[in-house]
Amino acid sequence: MAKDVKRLHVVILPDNVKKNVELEGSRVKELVKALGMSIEEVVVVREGRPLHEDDIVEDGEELTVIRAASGG
Amino acid sequence: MRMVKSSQLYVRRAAASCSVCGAPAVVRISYARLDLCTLHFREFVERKIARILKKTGLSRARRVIVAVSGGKDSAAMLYALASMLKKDNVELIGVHINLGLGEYSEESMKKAHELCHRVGIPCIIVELEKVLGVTVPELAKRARRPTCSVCGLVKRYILNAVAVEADADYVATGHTADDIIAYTLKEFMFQNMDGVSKLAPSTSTVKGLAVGRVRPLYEVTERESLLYSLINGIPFHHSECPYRPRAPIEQRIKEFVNKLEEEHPGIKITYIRRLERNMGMYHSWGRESSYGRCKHCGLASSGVVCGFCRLTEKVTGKPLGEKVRAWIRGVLASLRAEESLMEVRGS
Repeated sequence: MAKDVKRLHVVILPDNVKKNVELEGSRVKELVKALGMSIEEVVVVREGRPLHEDDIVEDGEELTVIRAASGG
Repeated sequence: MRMVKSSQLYVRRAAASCSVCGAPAVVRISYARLDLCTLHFREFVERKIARILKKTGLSRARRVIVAVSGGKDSAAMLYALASMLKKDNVELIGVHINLGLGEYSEESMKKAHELCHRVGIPCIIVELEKVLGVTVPELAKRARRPTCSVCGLVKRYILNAVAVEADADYVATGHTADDIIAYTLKEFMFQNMDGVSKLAPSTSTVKGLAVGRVRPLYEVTERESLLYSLINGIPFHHSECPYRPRAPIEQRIKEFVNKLEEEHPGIKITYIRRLERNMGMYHSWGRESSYGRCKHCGLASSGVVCGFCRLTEKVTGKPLGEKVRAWIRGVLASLRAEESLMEVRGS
């Protein structure tokens, strides 16, 4: 059986870079890993609400990944 | 299709629940083996800040100058201090410095002002272009010095000058655990132990010359301060400084340490706590710093003339320290006048 692939629209802040990600996996932490980032340096937000690293992402949704290690 | 999706949204459950109360968790703190909801995460962060406040005696201070850049870290710090110190009767005065870095500075200034207003404290805004007649990039260019080093010098000088003029007990800055780790590791690499000893949770005051620093977010990571700002709806400007170098060493160290933390949860907090404990030792290894008084402005200086007066004299032909101090005295006087007017109106 083919693996379940989720297509996600991701906005990375503060860079304001938009990416379409095809994720083989379903959790927030897997998305962060797929972006080549560490969970220690980002907060993932859905519609203004921060997500837990184990939260499930939905196919087709838009998520914001905010990098913590910048600006300040 | 949309109907199906929204019903899915409706039944979506949080993957993890709060270790304290069982509500949906928004974050995992791996090193503490905790999943926390917004309420208990806020408590968790404020407990770490309270430790530093207790240790440094900040809750017993009369007056504290709070450095507000407009970014997330100083925003989280000010928000926490304003709510945590309310009962202790500590007077907080916000200071924002507009460095003249174009659009970036304008946005930062708006957020700093908005935040101070929100937490109900006065905000002194020092616009370099208006007070000195020259911005940080112009100072750096004309002095032929790196922008970041000029920027750091100007910020340190102005914060100290405001604190001395306001007779404050401390200057609070929003440096996080990640900043402290990156700065100290860099100092270790260059074997600058004196530099390490200056990065304690607090530094001491030299009466009339230099006001001590306190770093309430010493044990709070950048990710925690970002999340704290987000869940509390604190206004902040999230953007990179347009003048930052492409790959600053500190940034690289942060990335590396965060990878390390992911593989070895707890390494950051262990480091920061042991660093705190060993500060006395680094201090004794450092140079004995004896402060003199700058012959132009009268504030702390390691030589006859302080770095700020030297820089401004080189660029404008005149040392501008005293001019800055006089400007601050004027602003503080009008602030006091306003406050007493408010009291009269209130009574």
